[in-house]
Amino acid sequence: MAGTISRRGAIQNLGAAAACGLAGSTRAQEYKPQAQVKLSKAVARYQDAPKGNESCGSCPYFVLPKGCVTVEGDISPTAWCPMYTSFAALDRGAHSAGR
Amino acid sequence: MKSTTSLGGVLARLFFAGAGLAAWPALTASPAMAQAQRAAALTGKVSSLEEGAMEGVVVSAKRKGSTIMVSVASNAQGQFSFPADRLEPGVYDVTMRAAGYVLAPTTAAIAAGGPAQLDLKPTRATKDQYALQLSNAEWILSAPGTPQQKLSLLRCFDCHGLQRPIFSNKNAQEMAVTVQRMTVHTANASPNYPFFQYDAVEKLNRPPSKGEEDVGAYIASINLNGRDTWPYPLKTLPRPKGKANQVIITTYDLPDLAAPHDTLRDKEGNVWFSDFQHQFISKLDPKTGKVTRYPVPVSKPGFPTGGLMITQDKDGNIWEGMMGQAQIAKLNPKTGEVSILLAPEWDKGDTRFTMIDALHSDVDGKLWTKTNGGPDPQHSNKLYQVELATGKFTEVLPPAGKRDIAAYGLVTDLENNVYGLDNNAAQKQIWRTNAKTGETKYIDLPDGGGRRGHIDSQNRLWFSQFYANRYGMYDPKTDKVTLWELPTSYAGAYDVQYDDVKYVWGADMSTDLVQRMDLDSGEWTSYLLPISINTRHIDVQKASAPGGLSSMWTEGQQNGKIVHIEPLAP
Repeated sequence: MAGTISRRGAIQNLGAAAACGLAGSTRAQEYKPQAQVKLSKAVARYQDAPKGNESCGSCPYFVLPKGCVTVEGDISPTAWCPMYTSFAALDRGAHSAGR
Repeated sequence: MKSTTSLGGVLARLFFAGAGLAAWPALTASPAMAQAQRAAALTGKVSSLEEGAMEGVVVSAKRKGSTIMVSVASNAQGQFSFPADRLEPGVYDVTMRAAGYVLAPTTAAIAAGGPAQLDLKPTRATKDQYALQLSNAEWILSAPGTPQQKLSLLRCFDCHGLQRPIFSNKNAQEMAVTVQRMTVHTANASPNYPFFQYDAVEKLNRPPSKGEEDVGAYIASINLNGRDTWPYPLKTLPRPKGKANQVIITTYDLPDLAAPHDTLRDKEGNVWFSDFQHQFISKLDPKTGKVTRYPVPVSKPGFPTGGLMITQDKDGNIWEGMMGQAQIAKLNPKTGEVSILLAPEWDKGDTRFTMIDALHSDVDGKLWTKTNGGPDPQHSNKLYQVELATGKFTEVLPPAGKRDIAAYGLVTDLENNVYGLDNNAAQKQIWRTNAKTGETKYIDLPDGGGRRGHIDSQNRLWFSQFYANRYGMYDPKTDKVTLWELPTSYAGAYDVQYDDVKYVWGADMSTDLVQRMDLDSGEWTSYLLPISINTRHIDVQKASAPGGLSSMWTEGQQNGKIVHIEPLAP
């Protein structure tokens, strides 16, 4: 089978996977045995403004109310950095169905 | 394993499609064959409007609430059959895998006393669903690019599938920044544990390099940057045929985000595994699916947790290299006691263990290990012998004028000499260090390095070539290397082992296939796994009786699975 795939459809599928993994990412932190190194805002290329529809508040690494798994300091839910992803943290590949 | 949710059902439909296996040929007296010849618990046929009977569809059954999934595959007539002694009476979710097809949520009620009948009629996947079915290898084969560009993608699935970069909308500049960041994650980082190296901030305080820019530009040319579709046709590998469908595959779910990296089956049938991201030595009981975790204390707060290589000595003790914690952990399975040895420079920089091998420590009372990182960037690879009785580390230095004895995999031979497998594609060598003299011999290869491997009963080294896409065997008696090209390109060959009778087994990180090569005929049999799992280390379960068949254990490093592949045909 070959052909083109609509990005809208693909993103919808990713959204479903993200919804699954958000709950899982919370669990991931429960099993994280200790604090780890985080990046500074400067080297993470953090910016105060969102990028289009992408912002920290919808990234799986955002930690309520104003934290991040990967970037140190206070994080605004309306900010953005290049680590932003629509993938859930638990979704590490194309086939997470077994989980 | 949580029960099937609506999302789980959706994903299952996306990722599985399939049909069956029927009349098992009576070819051997192996345990698996005997099971196949016994009564069936569930039989059926897979067919579609497009193809009629479908061969090579992996059909899986998982009892509701269970952590154990059993899979078979359909034969040329589309028929499949689950042996009765693999499925107890109960209600099962039935899923399947066949690229390009999906199956509506399906259950089967299995009762005692006779086989249940269930015909599966998958339908064509939508284009979106199809995109989500591609394996890592299939993305690499689909995308345009030079061999060098495609090889650069192999590093992605050290930590995550290719879907992340391929589905992203990052442009070349943004992707270069991402590629740069990937270089400062630790080797055992993952999206749910995005560990950074201790000096990541310092290392990132620079623009991306030319190489990082090149890789970023390549990925931006094949992802969804500025477009709604991929600008190339998506291709999948053909479904398995013939004896590749004569197999039973059992998949065990592991709890609590376990990330198994190495598996090891002991004489009692337990499967031990390292956890790439957690401080445990872990054990699976395949009869029940129960997992027992033995905690390992943290020695270096702030540094990554988790282990890589697991090994067992002749006394039955389990050893695991705890990477970022710079520990070797030892478990006495009889008492449950865990003790640790710290690397000589454990508290300096990012000194870390990866590989340890105690398999032949009974020869001289020593295990082999190595550290990476540490305080001296000019000498960051250090090879050690460790006396088990005293815990004393003795470094074995490289020959004068030679580079560090760098290696990814370590493999001890029957005399407890150690082989080092350098996964650097530019290093066309592997090496062996003599346990008594400390002398190191370099063994030349035409290209590529080595990644993991095993010693056979003839004291020959079997090893994988990750970048060169081959399996290799080095015979020290003849000083000769023999190489075999894998049947699938860009497979990401990780590990290989000989069963000491006839078959060479291997697994890779990219294809969702397990390979078995007949050493006599050179014939490859490629078994398709029911899900994508990113296999790493393998452990061959040798035939229990003459004429029987070997089987293979491996793990789903990135989604918490242990998998057992049992062929039904030679």
